[in-house]
Amino acid sequence: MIQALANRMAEFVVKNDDSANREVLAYGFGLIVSSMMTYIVVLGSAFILGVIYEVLIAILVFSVMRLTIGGSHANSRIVCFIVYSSVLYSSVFLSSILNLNVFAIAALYIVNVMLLVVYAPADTAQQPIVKGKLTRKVLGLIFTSLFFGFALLIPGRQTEANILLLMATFTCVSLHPLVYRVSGCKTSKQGGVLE
Amino acid sequence: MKKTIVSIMKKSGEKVAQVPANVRSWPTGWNQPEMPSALRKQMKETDKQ
Repeated sequence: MIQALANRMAEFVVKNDDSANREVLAYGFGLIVSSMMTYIVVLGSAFILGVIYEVLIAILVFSVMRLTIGGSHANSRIVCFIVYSSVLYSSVFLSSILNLNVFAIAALYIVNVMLLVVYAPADTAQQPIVKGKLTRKVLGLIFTSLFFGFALLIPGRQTEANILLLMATFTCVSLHPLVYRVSGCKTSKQGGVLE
Repeated sequence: MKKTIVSIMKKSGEKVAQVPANVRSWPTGWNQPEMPSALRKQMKETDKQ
């Protein structure tokens, strides 16, 4: 449905502008429409449930981390939407009941740093990361440290602190080869792109 | 009016399509196997530079 709509939008532009590339436009419109639909559903439901502020924090952390370190992707739009919404909502609802002490936070931080050092940045066969790997790894470590630092430095804001910790952890876990295997996603190395 | 709409649509569609090719990720993106050949070619050329 989304791609059919994106194709129709691309067709409309190409009919009125000969210089437009139908394939590129359909791809771009596909991204716009699917992202808009995802955010309308996620933010709309968050508004109804009264957790819009928490969901916005979760989206911010998720976006910053994923754009920097990459990670596994789902193989279909519907699976992507279900996993994305589940990750956002589970972090928001878990954050309101979890009470992590300093030692648990430190253990979580060490696990995340290890995942980042070993696996970041993690790409896909479709979008290989060839350049700036070290920069992405360092940025991933900096952002993770910042999120954990903020979480420790905002007393009385347990929910927000937990969202930062959980979302940073979810994105770091998505780098692990086991997550790639479960989601059926291949890295550029596994896909033979970089050989 | 129609020209303006077409122009805005063209620009936004092209710009958004460039993002996964440049950033190599899309936060809400699934594993798109059908990335356009023009963008795949552009990615390879960028990587060679």
